[in-house]
Amino acid sequence: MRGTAPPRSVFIPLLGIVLFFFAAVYSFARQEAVQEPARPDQAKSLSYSTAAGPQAATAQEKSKGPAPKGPTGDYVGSDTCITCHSDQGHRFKNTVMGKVMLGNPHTPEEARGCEGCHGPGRLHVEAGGGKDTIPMRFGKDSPNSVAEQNAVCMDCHSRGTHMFWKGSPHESRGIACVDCHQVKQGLKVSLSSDARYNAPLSDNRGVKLTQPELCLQCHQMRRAQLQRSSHMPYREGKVTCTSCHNPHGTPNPKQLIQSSTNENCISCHTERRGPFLWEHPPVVENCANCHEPHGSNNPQLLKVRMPRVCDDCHDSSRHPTQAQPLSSIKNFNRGCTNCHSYIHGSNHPSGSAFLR
Amino acid sequence: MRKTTELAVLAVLTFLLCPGRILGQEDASDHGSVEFGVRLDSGDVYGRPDLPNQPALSTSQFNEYQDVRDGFYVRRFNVKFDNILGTKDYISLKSGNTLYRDQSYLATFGNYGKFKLQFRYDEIPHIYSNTTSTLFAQTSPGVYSYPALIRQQLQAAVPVGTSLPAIIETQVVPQSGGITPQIIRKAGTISFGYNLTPHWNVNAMYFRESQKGSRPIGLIMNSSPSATTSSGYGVELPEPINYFNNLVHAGVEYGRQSFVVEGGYTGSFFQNNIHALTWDNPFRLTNETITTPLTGSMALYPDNHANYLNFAAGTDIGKYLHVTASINPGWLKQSEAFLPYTTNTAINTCGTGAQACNSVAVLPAANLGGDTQTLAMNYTISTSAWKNITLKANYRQYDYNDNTPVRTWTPVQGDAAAPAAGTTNTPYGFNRKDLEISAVWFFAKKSSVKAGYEGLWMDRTDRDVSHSLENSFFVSGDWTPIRSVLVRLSYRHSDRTPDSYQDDQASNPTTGADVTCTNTIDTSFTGDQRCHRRFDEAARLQNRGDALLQYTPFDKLTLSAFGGTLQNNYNIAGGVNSPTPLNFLTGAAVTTDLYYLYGLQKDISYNYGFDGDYALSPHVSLFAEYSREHYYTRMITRYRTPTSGVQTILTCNGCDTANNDWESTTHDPVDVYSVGVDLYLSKKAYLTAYYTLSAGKGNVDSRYLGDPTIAPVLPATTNPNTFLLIGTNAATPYPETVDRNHEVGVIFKYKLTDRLTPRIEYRYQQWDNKDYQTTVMTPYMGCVSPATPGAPVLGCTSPILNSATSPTPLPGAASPFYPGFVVGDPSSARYLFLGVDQPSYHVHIVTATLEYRF
Repeated sequence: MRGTAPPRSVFIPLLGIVLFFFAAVYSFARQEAVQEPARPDQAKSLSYSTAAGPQAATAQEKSKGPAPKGPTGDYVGSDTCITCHSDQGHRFKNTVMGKVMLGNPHTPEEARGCEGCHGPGRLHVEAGGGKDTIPMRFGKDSPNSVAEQNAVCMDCHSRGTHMFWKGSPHESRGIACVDCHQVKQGLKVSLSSDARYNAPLSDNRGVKLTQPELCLQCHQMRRAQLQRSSHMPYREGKVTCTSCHNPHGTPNPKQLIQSSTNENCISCHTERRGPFLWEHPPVVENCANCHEPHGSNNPQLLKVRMPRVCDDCHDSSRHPTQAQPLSSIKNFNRGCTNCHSYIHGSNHPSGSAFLR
Repeated sequence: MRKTTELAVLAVLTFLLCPGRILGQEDASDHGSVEFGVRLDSGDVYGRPDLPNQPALSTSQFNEYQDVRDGFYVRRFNVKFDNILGTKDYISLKSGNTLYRDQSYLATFGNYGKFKLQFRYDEIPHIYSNTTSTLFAQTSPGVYSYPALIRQQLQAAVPVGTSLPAIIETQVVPQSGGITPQIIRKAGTISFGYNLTPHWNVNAMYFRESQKGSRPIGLIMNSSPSATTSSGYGVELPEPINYFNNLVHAGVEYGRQSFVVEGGYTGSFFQNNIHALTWDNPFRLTNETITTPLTGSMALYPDNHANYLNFAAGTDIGKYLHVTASINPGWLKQSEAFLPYTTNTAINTCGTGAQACNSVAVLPAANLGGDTQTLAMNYTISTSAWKNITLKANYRQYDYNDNTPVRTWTPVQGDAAAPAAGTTNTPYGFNRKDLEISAVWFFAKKSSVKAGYEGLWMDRTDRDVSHSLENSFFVSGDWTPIRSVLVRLSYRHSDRTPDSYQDDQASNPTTGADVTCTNTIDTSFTGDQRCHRRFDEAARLQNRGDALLQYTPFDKLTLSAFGGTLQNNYNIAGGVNSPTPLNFLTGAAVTTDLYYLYGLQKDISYNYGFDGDYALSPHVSLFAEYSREHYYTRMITRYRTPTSGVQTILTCNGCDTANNDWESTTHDPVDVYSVGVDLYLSKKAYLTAYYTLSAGKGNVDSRYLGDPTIAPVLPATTNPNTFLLIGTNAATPYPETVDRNHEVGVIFKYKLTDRLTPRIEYRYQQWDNKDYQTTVMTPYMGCVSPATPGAPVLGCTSPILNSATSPTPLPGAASPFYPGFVVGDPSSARYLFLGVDQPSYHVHIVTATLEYRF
């Protein structure tokens, strides 16, 4: 019997909204209560340890008091850092972050420059250098945990496309921001990478590799799929991983940018959005029932070519149930869609079988 | 015109290259670069010697999504100026493939951390085929006409088939003009983001895209899928594409240290400038009857629009709790005016049963009034209250409610049949709820273990399964035992169980009562096989495993290996499926694994590979990659033919018996190999060479599962298990498809000065394609031989099968061009195709450019 769905409960969503509202009000009120009047020189700096050697300070241990004004106290100022690290300073200055933090800061955190990420430098300067005296380091040899490193980035980059980082698949697998991003220098691409991979034009130079090579380092299964003959224009540089996915996390399945697989596909293929007079149910639910968006050996990015992709669901009588010889009109050329051409849905009054 | 445009581009580039100091830059460091030069390509398309004209390389698969051709081109352009006129503003402009059909531009004006205004323009060509031809001509948008003289000749051809193919081969095919179905997308975006304060951000975006061109579409003019010499007609046309797509977005965001909230609106508006496709029936010019329409008409994609609101927020609660929420309602509308049921003036039994079907007045409504609402919600709470442990709970819900009115229609199938009894449209809807609970334990640096549960509740309207639950358990581990080794493992097990499965069509045709899979009493011939299951709703066991190993013994060497599999098993005994095997043959005679449902049985993929990067020295680095991916599916279905009169499935000859079950498996493997070297010589010369091979193939193998000796010769005495998979009903394997892409590239760059770097590139690409569905395509696939011995129709031979009684009939004489392929079908005797194919090609591309940095 074809079912009618039970009445959807609005209780859960309403409960969620109510709980969230109270949580937000509580958080906002609490923040207002503890925050002292902002001064331009005040920074909400992390509580870096000032004892010898870095401690495993957690990101939640925020400084409660006002930071010292100017290059006093534990902070020494970026100019001091660049005195020894002139090469890095010069490269950093030419990156977007460098241009903001060293050239055009808008917040006290940005005004910290090098120490905005690496923490106060006084101990490092007094010790005459040494990695162990840097409160926060990034990269493979860093003694800081991934969560600590990421928390530094999240201090500034917790909004917009990064809002859902906490709890995201990449965060829960211990991926560090610096696993994909680099800050201290612009993007350099090897000649072979430049020749083999293409991506849409972008002003994002803060990544270690361009797409899709960056993503393929871990998602190596996609390397084969992107080479299949039936494909969207990834290889030609018109579509790339972040055209559909947001690696920083989204509330949607598979870290898709849109709320569902179909909304994601329809963002480019809007003619198939409908609603139509005659709908094709597996199309309405999920384009990926029939198509493989990363690439396929079969025409039209089908997972299985026609007529078998249709045979998987249709077992009524006569021609849908026949195996079809090689020479059949229901097999060669476009298979079933030689006749059933508007298979994604028809708006024609005589389109009940998608012939029109 | 083109030369003028090129000169203009050069002039603009010259102007932009100069003014570094003019615009008041603080220093003379690089502002950008331009790489321009010439490109030559030489190659050809092969594999189709039967075609009357050699397909062009420029419109082959080589240029499916790009525009590579001889001549001057600007490969890349990039300019950036900071601190414009002493301000903190910057401007940048990038372009790629300038002036070609795949060109891109990106212009940005902004102030770092304050605002950004960006313009993007992109063109994407898409070529579908370069082997197509047709006699149809588009006389006005969406209207295709056929020469009246030829229509008259085809109508007059003796229907038994002696002259029809001859006319087509001598009149239609030679006079057809070549066309290239292709589209081009041109998309422009303007986006703006502004930080009013460090806490407030407003943003807006407008996107407009046009798609123009044509795309092959098949059209039958018959109520059944055949176009024989005595019944039905068919055409394949280039569907005209003339779309506009507009998208507008506006949003605002407010964020503080641990709290952020955003809201926005997104509107998407699709506009199709051609609403209907109308065409002449090439086989009829006069005397329209119910089954012989003179024209056909198709409704192209209707205009539609969608409006979405989005609300999202995230906040810390206390020290250890973080909550995020998002709510996105959407409204989708479509109300394009309907076309009439048909353009066939001879059909007058629509609506109440006595109304002309070619009038819109007989329709129950002027337009659909389509109205769909969506709602996506997500709530996530995560906590790190315990040292090195993170807990997360996430609830996600997606509603799709189609509130489109339901009405009763009298559709005319294929413009060539009296309308069927009243048919109601069905607006489908569904609701998906997803609850995930997981815990992650970071037991060491860069090492963690994650485990969790996910429940997915799915509710549907008007489908076979109204409610199902899928329970999933997953575990993953990331381990860095030593700094140079990273191991990632993950495993997921899912079990989907529908509450019940009942296909509306699997019902007694007389009483309407549902007939379940386990019902052995009702012997009626149901519309759908009672044990058939649609895989997207069916019970399913899914297992997924992935593994990745990365080893970096020292900075210069990185090795990695990976493997994974995704296994979907639908063949589950009991539950909503049959508790007992459905195999006809049992015991030692069984020819395949036991199965408990019809439809998809298994859907499996697995992949593995490795890659390595080794820097031999600061001047030489090597890379090698290999990956293999393999898809496999197994499907079982049953050949069924309706009973006649008052027969049941027990009193007819093999109309619904397991002895006519057949199985089909598909294999789609692809192997990708890449090797290459990068050389850096004396900090001035750069050389890279690489080779890539992507080797794919596909197999579709089918076979019968029953006993072919049971009443193999028709007509038989009444035997409900009569074997019918013979002749054109036989289940036989298809030829292997081949899809192989080689690419060799050698690129040399030499830094003449700090600013000038010439570059020479050589690439060779070869794509080999053999596809039993398209490699055989010609405009005529009718294969109707003359009644008396004569020359076979070009492109096919007869007979198709050399035995009408064999369950494994051998193919007939092969086409002279494709050994092993047998082309043609008398059911397409009156179907004119475009001849869509993408043949193999090979091409040499030499590019010489000069990069100038400024």
